[in-house]
Amino acid sequence: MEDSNNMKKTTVLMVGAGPSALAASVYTTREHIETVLVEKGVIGGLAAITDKIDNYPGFAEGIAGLELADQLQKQAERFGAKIELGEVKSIEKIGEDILVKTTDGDYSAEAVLLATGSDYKKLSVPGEKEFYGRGVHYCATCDGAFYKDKKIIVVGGGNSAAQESLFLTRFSNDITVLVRSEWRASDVLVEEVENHDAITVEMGWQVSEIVGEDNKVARVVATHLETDKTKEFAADGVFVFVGLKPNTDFIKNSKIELDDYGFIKTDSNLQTTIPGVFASGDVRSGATMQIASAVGEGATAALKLRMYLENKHRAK
Amino acid sequence: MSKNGNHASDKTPVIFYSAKWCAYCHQLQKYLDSNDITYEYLDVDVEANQQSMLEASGGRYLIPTLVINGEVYQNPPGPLVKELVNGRQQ
Repeated sequence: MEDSNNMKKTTVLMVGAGPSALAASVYTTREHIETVLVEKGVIGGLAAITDKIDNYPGFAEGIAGLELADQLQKQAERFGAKIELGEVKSIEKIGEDILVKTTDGDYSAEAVLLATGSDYKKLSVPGEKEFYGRGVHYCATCDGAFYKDKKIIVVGGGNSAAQESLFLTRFSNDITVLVRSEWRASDVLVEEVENHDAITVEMGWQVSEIVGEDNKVARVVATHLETDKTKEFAADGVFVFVGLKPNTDFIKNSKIELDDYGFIKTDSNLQTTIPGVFASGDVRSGATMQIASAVGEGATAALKLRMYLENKHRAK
Repeated sequence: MSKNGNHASDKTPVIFYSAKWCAYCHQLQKYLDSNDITYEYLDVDVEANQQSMLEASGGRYLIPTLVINGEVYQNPPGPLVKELVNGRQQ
């Protein structure tokens, strides 16, 4: 619905369409609360580009990330959730409503859920930006198939680095994982990586540069943290998984309070410092970065949103 | 005009390099289809298509890659593609 100023109106606007927002929208739309989701990347978020999800309850044999995302989307749309592609630029409370400016026009909503998730961090070393797509990548399921029988370096020591290394063994049997200090991945994954014939693990290496030749990546330069020795690792592809950063750039100038790492602070009702604006999933301060948790928080946020709307209408 | 074949067509202003394993590609393809945007689909698992994509993109292995009226866009948002082709296919 649009008013005379071309402002689109909705009861609830959700920023993001990952598992948390999709789950929340199932709850709101089943209660006949008009809900619009605005997604700037891929519907399903990072879950959609995860090869296989083994720890989401209800799927005994695991489920492909894309399949889970697809099912979540279909379930949300079945109840009437409307998913728009666009990027949210700002959020501001104007009177009783919340003004959300997007690349696809402006919305006025009675309540907002921020569920923008997180994205992979960059290494911030010379060569990384220059060779992005020419050997440097941040998504194995998206780009790994381009490196069939090629030499691959994986940078990182968390669950993503371990899981994506294992995925890359489908294409290459020459994978080296550079872990800066110590593994932060789960023991199950670490054991699988370390016992895999196609993977070599090098501990204690901090990448300092990515060097290219002929317009593509040729090697990775790293320094050993204990010995200070520098070494060059030949590489056709470099896959970087060095942690997650919250997608909160669009609210940095708003009144929504963030923690020291840029995650959104919420109270016990998952409400932010702006009344009527809630947050759930990976973008929330204290999030556990698990799909199951994000979905659970989405359901909780939806119930709190409903309560907020009921109280608001009752007070009128 | 073929949407899902590998047959070139002079009338197709959008070339869509994609692969069945690419989540971003699936989403963009759904968007293009739901907005009646016609395109020539080229699967990069076919070596010749991959080479053609690399030539177009200056060596960048990223999909979805779209060529719209001679310009290359890698992983563009659907609304941008719609804006770029709007008026040409309507």
